[in-house]
Amino acid sequence: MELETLILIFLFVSVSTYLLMQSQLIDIIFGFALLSNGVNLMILFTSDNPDGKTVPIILGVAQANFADPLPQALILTAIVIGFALTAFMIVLALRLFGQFGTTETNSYTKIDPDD
Amino acid sequence: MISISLPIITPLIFMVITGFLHVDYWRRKMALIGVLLHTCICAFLLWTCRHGEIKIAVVGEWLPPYGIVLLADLFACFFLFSISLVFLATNIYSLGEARDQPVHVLRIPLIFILQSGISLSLLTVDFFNLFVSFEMMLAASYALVSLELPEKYLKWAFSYLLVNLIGTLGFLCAAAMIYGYTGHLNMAAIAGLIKEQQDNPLILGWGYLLLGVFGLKAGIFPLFFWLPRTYSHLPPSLTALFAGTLTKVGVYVLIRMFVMVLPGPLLSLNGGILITSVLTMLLGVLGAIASTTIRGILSYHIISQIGYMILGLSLYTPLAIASALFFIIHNIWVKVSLFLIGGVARQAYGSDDLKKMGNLSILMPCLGAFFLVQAFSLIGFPPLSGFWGKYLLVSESIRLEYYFVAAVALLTSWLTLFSMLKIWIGAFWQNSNNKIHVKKLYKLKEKYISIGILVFASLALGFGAETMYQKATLAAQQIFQKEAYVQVIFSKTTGKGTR
Repeated sequence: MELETLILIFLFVSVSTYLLMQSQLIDIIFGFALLSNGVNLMILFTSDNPDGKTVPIILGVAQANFADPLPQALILTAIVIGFALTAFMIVLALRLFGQFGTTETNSYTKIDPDD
Repeated sequence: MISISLPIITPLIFMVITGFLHVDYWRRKMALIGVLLHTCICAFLLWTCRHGEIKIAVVGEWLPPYGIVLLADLFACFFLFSISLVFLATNIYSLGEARDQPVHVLRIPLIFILQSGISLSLLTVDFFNLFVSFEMMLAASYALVSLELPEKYLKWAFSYLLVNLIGTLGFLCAAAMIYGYTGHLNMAAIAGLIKEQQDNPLILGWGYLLLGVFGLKAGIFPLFFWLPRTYSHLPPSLTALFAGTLTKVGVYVLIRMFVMVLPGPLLSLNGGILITSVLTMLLGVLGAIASTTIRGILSYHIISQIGYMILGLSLYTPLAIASALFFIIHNIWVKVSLFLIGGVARQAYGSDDLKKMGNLSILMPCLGAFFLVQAFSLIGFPPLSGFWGKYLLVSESIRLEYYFVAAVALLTSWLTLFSMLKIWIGAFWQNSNNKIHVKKLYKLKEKYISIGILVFASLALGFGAETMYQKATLAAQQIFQKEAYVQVIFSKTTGKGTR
């Protein structure tokens, strides 16, 4: 599974890099959402391979050879934070749309008096 | 040790209280009590750690290295106290601000979240916990920026958000990589595991990733573009707060990572930081010279002075780190007070374009005196606090035979003098026909008190340089001793879970 995960991470990161370079706010938001998922996959990828290990639940006697439960906790936290920030980004983009009437970031520069 | 978690919990409690209070008067009073209490707690922590004690608090009694550990040493306590004083001063200042115009309901609760996040990121020694605390701190700052930026500058809120989010994801990558390699998230445990691996390319790459991520937050050379534009359009108390806290936490984490966690001086990496620091210093101050508003000049100076702090890191000796620590504390107080002074001056004229101002030295002599003291301190005139930090940094780089770097540091000081004189002549000395908004100046008491606290603190730092220098040296020597940290953290043997 490791090679497949690696290819998936590569795809996520490269597509999101392309999207983050775009001038449309919507593209940027999708780019960020994809990138955060790519990073979550990377946490999974860097942790131990759980093949042949037992579920990390202690029933009476503690067993050795557990699968590492920590990456899942990390990913869960990262997903929640990423989700909240994506939501925040969407709201900010909505405010920008209300302010300038467009989601094309290139046209904001012309409106700004300082640039 | 309950006292270590208090700087994190207290702001959260006050966040809840001020979030639910409906009466504006009481909300402001509670906010003042909250920041005052936080300052007292931080001063107490600094006092208890003054002889170089390392204190730990293990969250939930789970045994280290798997449980989350909070750690307070002298280095962290110095940062904690100086940042806490900034929160106190800007809070008092914003009491005055609230008289002129209504303040957003969420500002005070968000500032408490910011304070809690900063305290947690200064005290935690767990990588993932550091990520969460950075998110706490940055999420509060995103919200504050997008609430308080004027509508026409709102696009800078979006770029601020995006830039910091990408940095955050980079940090998550770094945490994942180090966890995959060492199987630990506790900084002291990692430091113990990798302390011999100076030539490991993985560690080097990891170091570069961390430099990029925290350099982005601190605003070092190629990554500072977002800073002046976002900061310079916020209300004065918020600009001052962000300038004094967010970038400095970035520098703090950089020093902690490179000195305490990563093994020894990583040669190519330290060379890279040295070049970056030189460019940061020089380009920051050149940006300041090109600006024409007080806030613009001061915002570019943040970048320039980050260069000095990073210079201390790149020299990588205990003395250099001590002088960087001295410089950072001085810079936090002086820079914040200059932003606040700029805020008062801007309020008087309704704009802070230097071409439209003048006469302030006659109209507000007290403000002029404050500005003069702090500006000369920023430039580095003896015996003010800025002199000692810069003197130590320059003498250390000459001792290590980096003559060019020392020359650039001195040149930067000279250019700082030039840009500070620009503010002094433009706002305080020149004759101006523009009418001052006298009506808006009826109460400046809070603002003078808040600036006065910081001026007093930085003067005390300048005149008590000997004591401060000894303590800074102690703090710097302490973070070079990894074994001590490993020992303290693993000394706890009773608790839940096994090793």
